Amino acid sequence: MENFEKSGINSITENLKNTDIDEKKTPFIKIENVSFSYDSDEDEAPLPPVLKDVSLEIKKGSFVALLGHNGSGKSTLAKLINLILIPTKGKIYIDGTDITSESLTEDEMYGIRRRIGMVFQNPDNQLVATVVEEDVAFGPENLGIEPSEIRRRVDEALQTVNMTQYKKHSPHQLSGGQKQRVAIAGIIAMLPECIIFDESTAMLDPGGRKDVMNTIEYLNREKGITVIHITHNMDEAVRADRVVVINDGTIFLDGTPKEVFSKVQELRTVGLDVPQVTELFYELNYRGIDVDFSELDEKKCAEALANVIIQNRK
Amino acid sequence: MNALELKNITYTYSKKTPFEHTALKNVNAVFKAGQVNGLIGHTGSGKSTLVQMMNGLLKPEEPGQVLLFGKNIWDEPKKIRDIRFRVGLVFQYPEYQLFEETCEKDIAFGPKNMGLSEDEIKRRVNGAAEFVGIDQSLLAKSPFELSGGQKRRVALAGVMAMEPEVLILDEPAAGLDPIGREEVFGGIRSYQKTKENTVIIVSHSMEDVAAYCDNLTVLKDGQIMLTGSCGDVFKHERELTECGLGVPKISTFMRLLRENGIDVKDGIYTVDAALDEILRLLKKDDVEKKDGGNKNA
Repeated sequence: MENFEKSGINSITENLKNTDIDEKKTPFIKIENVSFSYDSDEDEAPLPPVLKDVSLEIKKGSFVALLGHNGSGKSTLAKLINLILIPTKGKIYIDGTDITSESLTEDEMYGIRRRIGMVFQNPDNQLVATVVEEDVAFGPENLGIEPSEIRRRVDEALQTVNMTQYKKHSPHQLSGGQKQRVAIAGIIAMLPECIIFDESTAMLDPGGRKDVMNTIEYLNREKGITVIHITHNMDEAVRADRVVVINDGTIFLDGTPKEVFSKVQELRTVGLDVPQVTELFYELNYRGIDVDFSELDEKKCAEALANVIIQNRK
Repeated sequence: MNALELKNITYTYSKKTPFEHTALKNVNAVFKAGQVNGLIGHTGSGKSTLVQMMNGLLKPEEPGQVLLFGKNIWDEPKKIRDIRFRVGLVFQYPEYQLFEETCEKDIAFGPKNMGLSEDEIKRRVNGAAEFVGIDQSLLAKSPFELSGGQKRRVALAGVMAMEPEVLILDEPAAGLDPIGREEVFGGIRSYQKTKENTVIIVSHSMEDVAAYCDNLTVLKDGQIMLTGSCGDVFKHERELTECGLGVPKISTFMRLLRENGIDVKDGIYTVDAALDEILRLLKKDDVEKKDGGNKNA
């Protein structure tokens, strides 16, 4: 941790700690009765709303997994939070600032986008430069930051995602997981307080997924960055501290992973799965075998089930 | 019988330049006729290069051979276009390649280029739409009005309508939600069952290949690492994890049970099989299986 002592990222973490008391009062992201419809063509009927009267509060430093079937409105919600889209109705506050206000200046808007970074699905669509470290520098360069400060931020961001040894490489030589970590470094170099991952692991192989998930967890737990992780992978959602399920533009379930994944039937009705081990335990319960299926840790699950089997033999 | 047999395949990109990179090193592999063959490997393991060998988009270095039902596809290089009709290759995100005004026209594009009669084209379009569960009412719509999962299935139908003897799909379910995945794989299954053709699925999802493939071929750094049934391949959890892959979560869980002193069978890779095994251990196998609690019920 000492490496980060003088870093900008660390100073943000410090800020978070100092303002902790205030944070309890005002959530970092506050969504208030938000509805959203995409514009239809002039001669056609208006399109149905993608989000309907959604209210949601996200605390600073939390790790939220956002689940929902394709077309449920989760990506739209993410785009509203970082001002790529503007709600048709309702208010969104970021750290107390009303970002839906008409008096929001362009500078304030760019400020919000810097504070809330976004990493997308396709690793090949997000890298712009021909050398890894130049790509990471792209964001801070556009913010007009001093070259010496850019150098410092780039080195540190690459270290955070564990890609320092590849800094002189060309992005096309990297694997999908490595490219995503470079994309994350590019965001970190802008010192965001929140990062939204929009299915950022969907195209990766299992090894790449694991590396990216570990990076996300590290940013959240060690750096205090608020994380919103959109995914179809239930085993990834288990690692968050809160799971929000969106269905047809409304919030369907909201709770800890334990609470949400214990609702196996409800999740299935909205087209989602549960982790495989939870599914197994649910089926066992259904057949009258008494094992606690709200437990999500595989090792604990294995111990519990082993005990049931051993008891049964006696 | 083998639909495709690859013999001594080596391929080097940008040969004799500083960027020279050998993607495949002396690969020997077979893909069985009438089965759903899975091909897995970490990013950069050579999967894409290998599938492009199979329909003649890339040519192996001497003395490599690609045998389609026993015949070398490069015997008559001028006829390589015919091979591409016989071996259909569906790239990742095929919905980006939709372009026609209606779904029907888009699905018909391939068969039309094969020079088939109008009646035959009609029959093929309807057949393919049925496999992937695209309703007749959707056929007249523009593909751009459909949802992501529907677009994907229309794109798949476009290749199925050409009725290739071997259908190769690169990550057919990437980016889809669980229901979308089931619909896509269900479509591939019913196509394969009805036509008794050969299917090759390239995927990063161990859970998906475990659920839908009859056998697996594992590539690592341009070489074959493992081949066999899903049960045989997923026994190698450590090796698979080391090369950037893994095993289905449920296989890991069964290993953990074993480490807790429970004598579970080897080679379990689906939730259903795990459930049967645990019920057997609890001697509850007389209990009704797979009833209302199952998601397909």
